[in-house]
Amino acid sequence: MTSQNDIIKALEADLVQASNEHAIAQVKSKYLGNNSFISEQLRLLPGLAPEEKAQKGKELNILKNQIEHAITEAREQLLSSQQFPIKDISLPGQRFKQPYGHMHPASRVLQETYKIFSDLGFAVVDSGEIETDWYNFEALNMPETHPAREMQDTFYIKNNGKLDVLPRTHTSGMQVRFMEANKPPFKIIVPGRVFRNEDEDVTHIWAFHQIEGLVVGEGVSMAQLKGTLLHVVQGILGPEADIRFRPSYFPYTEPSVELDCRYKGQWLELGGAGMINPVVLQNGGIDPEKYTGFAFGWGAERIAAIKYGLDDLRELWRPRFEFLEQFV
Amino acid sequence: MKVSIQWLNSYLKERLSTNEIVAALERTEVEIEEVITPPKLDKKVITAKVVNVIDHPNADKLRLVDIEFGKTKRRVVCGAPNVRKGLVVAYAQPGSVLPEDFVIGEREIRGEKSAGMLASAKELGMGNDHSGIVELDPDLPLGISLCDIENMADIVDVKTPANRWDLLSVLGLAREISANSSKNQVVEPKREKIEYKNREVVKVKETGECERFISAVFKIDSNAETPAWIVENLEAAGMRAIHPVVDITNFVMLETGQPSHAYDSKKLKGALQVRFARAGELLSTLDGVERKLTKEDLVIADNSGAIGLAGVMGGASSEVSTQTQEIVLEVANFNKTTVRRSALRHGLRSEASTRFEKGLPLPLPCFAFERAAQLLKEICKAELIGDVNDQLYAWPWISFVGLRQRRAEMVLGTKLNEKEIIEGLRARGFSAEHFSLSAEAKKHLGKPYVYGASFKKNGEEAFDCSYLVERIYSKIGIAIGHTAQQQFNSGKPVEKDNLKPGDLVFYSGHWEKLDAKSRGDIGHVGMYLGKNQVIEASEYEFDTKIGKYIKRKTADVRYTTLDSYTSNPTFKGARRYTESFNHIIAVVAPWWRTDIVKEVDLIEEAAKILGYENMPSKLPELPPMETADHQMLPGLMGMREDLVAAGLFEVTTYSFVSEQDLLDTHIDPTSVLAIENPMSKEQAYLRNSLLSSHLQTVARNNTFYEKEYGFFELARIYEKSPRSKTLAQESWRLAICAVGKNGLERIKSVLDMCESRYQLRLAYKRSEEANFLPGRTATLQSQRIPEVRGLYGQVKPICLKKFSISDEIVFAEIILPDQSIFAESTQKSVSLLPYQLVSRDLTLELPNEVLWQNIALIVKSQKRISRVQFLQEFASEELTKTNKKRVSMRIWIDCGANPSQKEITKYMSAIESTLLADKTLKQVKIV
Repeated sequence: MTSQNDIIKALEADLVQASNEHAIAQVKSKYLGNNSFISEQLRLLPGLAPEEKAQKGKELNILKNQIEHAITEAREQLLSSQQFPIKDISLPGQRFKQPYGHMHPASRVLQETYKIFSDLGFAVVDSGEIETDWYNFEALNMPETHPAREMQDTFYIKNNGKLDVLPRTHTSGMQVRFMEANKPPFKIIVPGRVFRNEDEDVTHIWAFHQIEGLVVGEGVSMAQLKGTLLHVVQGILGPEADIRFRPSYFPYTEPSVELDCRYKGQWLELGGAGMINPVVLQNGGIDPEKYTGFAFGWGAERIAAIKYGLDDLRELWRPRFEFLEQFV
Repeated sequence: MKVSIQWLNSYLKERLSTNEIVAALERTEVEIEEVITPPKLDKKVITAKVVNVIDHPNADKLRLVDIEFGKTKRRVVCGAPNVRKGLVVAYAQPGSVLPEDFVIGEREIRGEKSAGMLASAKELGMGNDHSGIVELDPDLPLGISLCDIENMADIVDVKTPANRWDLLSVLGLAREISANSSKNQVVEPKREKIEYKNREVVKVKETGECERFISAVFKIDSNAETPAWIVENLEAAGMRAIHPVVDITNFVMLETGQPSHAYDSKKLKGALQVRFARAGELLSTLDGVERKLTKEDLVIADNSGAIGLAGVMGGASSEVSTQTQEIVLEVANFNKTTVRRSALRHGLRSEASTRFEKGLPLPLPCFAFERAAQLLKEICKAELIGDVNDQLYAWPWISFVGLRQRRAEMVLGTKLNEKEIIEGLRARGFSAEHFSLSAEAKKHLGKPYVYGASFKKNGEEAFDCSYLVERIYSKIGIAIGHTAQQQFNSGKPVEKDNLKPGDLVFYSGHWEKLDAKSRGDIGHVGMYLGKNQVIEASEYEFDTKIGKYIKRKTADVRYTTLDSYTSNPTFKGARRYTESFNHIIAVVAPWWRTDIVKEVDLIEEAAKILGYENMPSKLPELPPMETADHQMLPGLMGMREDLVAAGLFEVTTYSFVSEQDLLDTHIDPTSVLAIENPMSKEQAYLRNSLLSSHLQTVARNNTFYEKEYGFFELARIYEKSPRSKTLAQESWRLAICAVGKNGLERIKSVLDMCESRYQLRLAYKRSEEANFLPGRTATLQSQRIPEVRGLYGQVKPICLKKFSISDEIVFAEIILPDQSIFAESTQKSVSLLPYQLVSRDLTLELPNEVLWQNIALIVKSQKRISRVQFLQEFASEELTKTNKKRVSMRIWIDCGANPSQKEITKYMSAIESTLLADKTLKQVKIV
């Protein structure tokens, strides 16, 4: 019988010769396979006397472990010594490129806006874009004779000469609708397209996305309006941004203010805000002595223009892909 | 409105710099659009005084002018007609450089030396006036550089709010500036004292349209000239000087906000009238346009017909001219809506109509008339002929309002200082004081009782019972009604044991003045003041001993006891109008603040007095909203993110389209909503599909963006719905457009993504559509939410040609009906099997039109099939000829653990025989 040491030596010699995985597998089969010495010996075991059987079995087991160990080692040796040819790791990743699209800058602003307001516990409310004269104007304290109607140039829908239905000029039309359908307290934003019958130029587009805010409850105050807007503006434009109120006039809020923001050292007009006019609360079926509320509104495109330094708002509504490509 | 800083300063006791004025205006509703600053002048241009003027020996139009500043004297040659002794002028010393690099030297003019020159406004770049030299403020120190006199020629351009007529006047702006700069005061302009008569010299037929008409005749000096300061201010405001009288009316309009009009009295035929025009009546307005009037146009007329469109523009026939020697001056009030409609109807928004539209107060015409009269006298040597007639047809109400300090603090969210608010209101021209019920009541003690007394008749000199309590309540802006009966009906009932000061107490009382018919239940009212005390205006009192009413010796306002009411057998009860009289400021608005009507108007004033910069910042203390019903927009936002992640561009396109766009995409224009007043053709219709907008988008990018790409838009579309109040049925649409090769696959991969992301289980059906290629178009519908449906396909080249597109375009449009798409999945997870599935590949040969979707459905419906995977589609030339294709798939079968080959074959042959037997697959062959 070959000594166990001889077997190990032969194995080691064979493993040195084995230069790839296939050769190692052959070596493994030679020493551990069906026709190997170990297998032969193991087959003989059942015929041996119990004592001898135990002794022999133990020896064979040790040998088997030694062989397995040597083979595992040889395999690891082979893997760690494997050579890979050099490659240019700076080549463009063309073949497996996974293109990512481009969200519209105004949507990007809306996305952030939703997030900030949702975190403040506001609901984001959907609303129709075609509105009646009542909700868009009359209910908001702007009767037909009100000169403030001219603040917003209005498109009208053809209706046998009547001017009673219109593509909404602002999202504020939703104020009274929401009041009618919901009991205070509530805090919502109403984002959506609005339409103005104006000439289009670098700073004017005849449709844009307005974000309306509406909060009604007991004890809702203008200081809370200021705090909310500060929080939101800083959320959108960064913690360095600041806001200020300037007195203004809107028929549907009183007191009314213009909202300015300071961004990169400059004061910029952002939108309008104010405490909901008691007349509007009344039109929405809410007791203005018990409840107060605030409302605000601004354009997503306006914020996008400030944030991304857009020179020409028309790019946002007359898409050119070379332009949109830069927004990732 | 453009106003020069100098003009504003002329109404301020302390002159302010441009910056100070801008800072003050920024604290008001006035929006500063622009501050126009002329170029900085050379330091060598200084102030100097003209001390002597003599004729130039060698030229008719030139003069030799001696000027001095400090101890220095100079002589210059000057051709300006207005040069005269005593004038303070702008002296450009030799060596100074004027705008446009005009270098001033010392030179000889017709043999006389001129040491520099005296400059006109134009030469200094301060305006267009070149008619003479600049006449400076005579109080200026001499020898100082003009550039050191701040704001010499600065102009502010302001935008004023719709509710403040007064801010559309220089004086009104000055009032606000004064209120918002520390310790300033307004200096009101000089006005003539006028004694008004009220003869009906003008036939005002529509007194509801013209509530005040002041008119007078003046004889004027026809040689008068408009002084430079008026011309400058008019020009700064963008108006031309025309004629001294016209210039004065324009100046007074800009100054006070009240438009007025002057007629050449010799050109008038008979008395003036105010009436509506006759339909078709003609009027040539001052702008030289002949206008056809309607019955809704209010006109000023004489016997010859209409001579002016009231509140909008005067007529040419009675225009003043250089020959005019006598004028009729009209200062009137016209209905704001009538004026606005006339102006819009005739496309004639004038300076006058813009002002009338805001609604001018009734006291204003007097103020403006007196100012105009003063200027006419000063400039045109005007002499009044006859009387000034003031025809007034309405009561010039003033506004009493109460400001509850606690309410204001609640609305603003901050503590207020009563003293500060009262002082701030007073600085703005309000009368304001802490309201004390007892003090207010006490003021009227002893004033006589007059039955039927009212404010119009008696002021605060006499009262009856109901007028006394009405008056007291009116001081804090609470209207309780005129009669005791109304007061009883509208108040909140209170028990006599719970009375608070201010509550009204009623009894039936003594009926002498009213017949039984006119009587209500209530005959008398008094106001409880606390501590058993009531104040009342009474003529009778109840004598409990005899149980009768007896006439008082002196009928007046007096204190009496509450017991005298409650013990009266006809005591009717008590009423309350306000919960508390504590911390109320009683305010009377100045006549020019027509915007102050209600408490909330004063809360806004309080906010401005406080200053928004001093307002704290807090967050609302309301609970978070329940958002389950408001998932649509957040859901769409998530969809946007998914589609961008899928490699698409997001676009936003206008919601309106042109008629051509509709026709080019086979939409009947009469089937969609139209815009009544579009400004351009592309705004004519509301779109009911995004196809044309997206084809336009591709066309816009045709030559610039030569890549293969896809884009999408999420937008609402509008369908005609005559029964809806908005005439429209709106719905959200997802539109996806692919440009270039492999568009179908590109879009299908996005649809697949949406399908799995939103568990839509989409079913596709081949379809024929007007704009899409047959055989490459499908309708699709969700089997989870049937309302989610749409179509996708390759656009026909013939359609693309109309948009000048040469690329291959594939377009998909899907209706997203509601937020149910975005509902969170309720599906339970499925555990993986403990053994492996068996897979077998299968290739079928079948007709081209068969959809993979159908094959997969049939296979999947078989027992034990867990998954069918599409491998490839193949069509050889030969197959194509016979309209056939081969489709390979891999089928995953659940055969349990350790299946035998036989079992697997059994399942596969079951599948194969089902496929072969299926009629929808048409002559399928297994390859």
